[in-house]
Amino acid sequence: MIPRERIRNFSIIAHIDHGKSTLADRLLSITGGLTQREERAQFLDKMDIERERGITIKAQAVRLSYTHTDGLEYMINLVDTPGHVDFGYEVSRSLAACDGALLVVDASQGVQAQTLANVYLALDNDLEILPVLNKVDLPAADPKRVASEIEESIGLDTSEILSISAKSGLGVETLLQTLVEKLPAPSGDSDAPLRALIFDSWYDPYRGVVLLVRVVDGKISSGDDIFLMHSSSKYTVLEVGAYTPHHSKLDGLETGEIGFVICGIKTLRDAKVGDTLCAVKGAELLEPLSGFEDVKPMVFAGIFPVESADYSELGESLEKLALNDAAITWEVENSSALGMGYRCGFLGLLHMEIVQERLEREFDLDLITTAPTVVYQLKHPDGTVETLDNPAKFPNERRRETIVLEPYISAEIHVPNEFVGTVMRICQERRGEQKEMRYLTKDRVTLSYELPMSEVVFDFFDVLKSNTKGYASMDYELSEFRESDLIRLDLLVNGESVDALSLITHKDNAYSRGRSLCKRMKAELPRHQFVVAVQSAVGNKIIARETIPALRKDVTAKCYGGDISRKRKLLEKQKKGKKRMKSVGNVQIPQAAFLNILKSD
Amino acid sequence: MQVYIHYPYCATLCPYCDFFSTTADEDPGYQASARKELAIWSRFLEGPVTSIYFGGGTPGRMAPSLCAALIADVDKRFGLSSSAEITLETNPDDVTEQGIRDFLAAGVNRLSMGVQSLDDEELKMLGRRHDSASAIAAVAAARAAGVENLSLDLIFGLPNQSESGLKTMLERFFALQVEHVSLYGLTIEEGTQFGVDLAAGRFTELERASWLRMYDLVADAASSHGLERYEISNFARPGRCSRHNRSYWRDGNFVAIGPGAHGQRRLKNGGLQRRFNPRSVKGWRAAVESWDKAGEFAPHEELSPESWLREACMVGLRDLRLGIDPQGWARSFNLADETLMATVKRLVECGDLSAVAPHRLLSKAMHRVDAVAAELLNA
Ligand SMILES: Nc1nc2c(ncn2[C@@H]2O[C@H](COP(=O)(O)OP(=O)(O)O)[C@@H](O)[C@H]2O)c(=O)[nH]1
Ligand code: SF4
Repeated sequence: MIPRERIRNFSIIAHIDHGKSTLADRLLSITGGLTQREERAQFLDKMDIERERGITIKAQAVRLSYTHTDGLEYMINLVDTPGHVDFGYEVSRSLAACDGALLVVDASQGVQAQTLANVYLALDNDLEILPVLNKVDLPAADPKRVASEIEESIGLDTSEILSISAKSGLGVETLLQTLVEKLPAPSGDSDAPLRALIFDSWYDPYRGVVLLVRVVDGKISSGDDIFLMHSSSKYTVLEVGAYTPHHSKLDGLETGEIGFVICGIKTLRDAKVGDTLCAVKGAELLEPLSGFEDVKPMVFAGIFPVESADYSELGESLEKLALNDAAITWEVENSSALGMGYRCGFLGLLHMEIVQERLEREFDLDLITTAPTVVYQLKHPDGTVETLDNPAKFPNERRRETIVLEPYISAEIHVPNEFVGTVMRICQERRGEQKEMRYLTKDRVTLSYELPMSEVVFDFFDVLKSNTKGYASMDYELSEFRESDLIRLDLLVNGESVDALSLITHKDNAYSRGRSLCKRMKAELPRHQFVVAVQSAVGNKIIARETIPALRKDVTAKCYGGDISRKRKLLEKQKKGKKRMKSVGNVQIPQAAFLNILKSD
Repeated sequence: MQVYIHYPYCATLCPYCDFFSTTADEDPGYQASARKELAIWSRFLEGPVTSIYFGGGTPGRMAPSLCAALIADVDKRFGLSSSAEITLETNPDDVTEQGIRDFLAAGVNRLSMGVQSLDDEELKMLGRRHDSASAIAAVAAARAAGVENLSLDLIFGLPNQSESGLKTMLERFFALQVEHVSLYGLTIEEGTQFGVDLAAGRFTELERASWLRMYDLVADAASSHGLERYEISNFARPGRCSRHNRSYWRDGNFVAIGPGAHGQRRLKNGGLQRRFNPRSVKGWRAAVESWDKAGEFAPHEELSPESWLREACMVGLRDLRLGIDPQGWARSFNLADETLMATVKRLVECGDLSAVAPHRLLSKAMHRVDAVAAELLNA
């Protein structure tokens, strides 16, 4: 057994693409955790979707064994954190399981906003931070400049900063040595009653829910009767162990150790991240570990089956999906245009896309996702507050005394100097209020904005990126609800309002929004046998209109030899275009239109 | 078995036309290449030939001696059935009584004339060189020369065309008492002058509804003059349906000569192979040479039996009398195509097709022939 003084629990903080995965793989291979074949695939990113999108969604923890130059063996637990703001809470719980963190910064790029946000989280959790410059092998690397940037923007001492190349392996041995020397061993009381922090959990089809825990006090063993303090539920531990990175069974986990616990939990809803695990006996005398939060969805959208017969299957699929996605919520939604479906809540847009993709891929469903919306509040004259997550339910004729509140976020946007004007313009167009502008270094700026969340939710980040050559990075958190002059904008197709296409917008933007919606819809709709009119309206007032001319007539003459294959191709094309359409009245709307019409030009 | 011969030369180019045509003079090598191509085809297909169709372009502009030589070659290579239909396309302003006599002497027994309209304004808009008077004169000349089987092309659906104007014009048109009329509902194709004009907003296309009403007007006028609609866009007196038009796709063996022409041969398993000729005289001549050397059929497209079946349904649907018999066709090469049959059944149930095989397109579905065809094609 390795004594607590020789345990190091840490995670790697890095902006996307700065080399976190590469470094993690490098550490695994140096300490002999992976076979060569396994090294080829980045081991820590398990799910397909994550791999394809190049992001880490689920945290993982691996236990490595490292023999230091002092001749002693150390247990190193590397906790991987999700890399996207949508999963901020999970990041914070993962960091809470650590005692230290490596801050990895690409020496050719410099500090990014998301890095900063995570560094602050780490500092909040009292972690010791070890800065590391990666990619020093690149010709564009400028370690000196980036080091001083770290020093200026975060205030870390960089006099002994490590320079590595995760790709070539340069400096990684030294990094391991330094890490053992500089990062603290876990504290905790091994004689106290058991308390462990659940910092991640997922659903394994063979084992049920797997909990990743950090033992804060005491010890947990197979066969223990345990209690989850926030969920108030009891289980018996079936198995404990660690990932080396392979699933390895152990007799128990000691104070300060990180590992997994399996105890027959059926769904992720019962295994909340941030919960405290303790022994059943004496549980009532214990304080839960701090920092627990029930994660609330921020973004809502309707998910409907293209074939209405798939409705019940969609429900079952959501149930199954929720086994390993604790954050998604849903309730039945009945749309007059799209039929029966579900109103789903997500952590953010990325989460929404991932859910839709998983539903389509893992459960083979054809789906329509409607425009994502944030949660509004309606404050009635009698003082009651109603929350509103569906534009279709937004009152058309609002009593004057009813106040509408919309959620705002505080955003930190990090850009090179030259793009400050561009970013300000984008934020202004989206009703942003500038709070502060800080020069991190002489050519890097952090802009602080208060922005309506609804303006950010859809494609703000994409627009920001594409207007700054990809340099801008952003981090945000919910700040407050503010009174706002909002109205509902409806879209009418051949005179009929399509509830699934309604959206809530600020009154000042209604006209431009209405026009662009109609234009977009025109681009999305195929021609029909008849003329289709698309209108947008506020209340009874039509504010924009487009018409889609009828299909070309299809009775033509003269079929000479060659015409046959040409004609065949023409008709085959018609079929392809028809796939994945939803009939609304007698108009066919392509599945993708429901989201595409929201995109900015 | 049928032969299609494309003669691409026209006096001027019409703005709606997307057949391969050119105003150049006849390439001195045209005849040699065409005859060589016939010879190559004869390695792959056998006669007897039941129909030869000279299309274009304007084959009425070729020397009757060339026409005679090609017909003689077809006979020599494949054997020409004694009752073969031999059609020549021409334009009113290329017709002379003597010229037609010469073509008849060469073996032509059916004339198809690009009259298109008898409204002078419309003819101008269509970029035709003739006016209504010369069209009527050309019909008379053809008759005088001895043409007994005469077909006229008719175009409707021009931008700005009115239904009442069309009606008046149709009366004069059908008064010409021809045996056959090929109807062409104007569609504006990309890559034609009309396509360019449309994109530039110089005119607008007719609304579908009025386009369809015009189509019905033509059908009514035809039937009141004793011409039956035997195909979606072809009308004929009894016994005068175009054989070429109706059966080339059923048989599946089809020799194609000339630039832009497409030919095909049926395989034993029910599938099909096609060859596409380049849409330029030079390219075609080169292709003939290299095909000669290749010694193989070298198809550009190959259809599986299932695809052929669907395509045959797509085209066959247009034949309002013969209809389609997918089950029988499939059986003839031991294929059981249940998905296609299920689609046929559904179309029968919803009243688009007649109940018993061969299934005919019912009048209710006449305006949606392509939609029905697409269902069968994509079954
Ligand atoms: N030249 C160079 N490239 C690196 C280095 N570390 C990572 N990369 C590359 O940077 C890209 C992003 O690395 P990755 O580890 O996936 O980043 P992550 O998003 O932080 O996990 C990959 O193409 C890596 O091959 C390095 O030290 N030098
Ligand atoms: S005469 Fe016929 S083939 Fe020639 S361009 Fe006109 S329509 Fe086309």
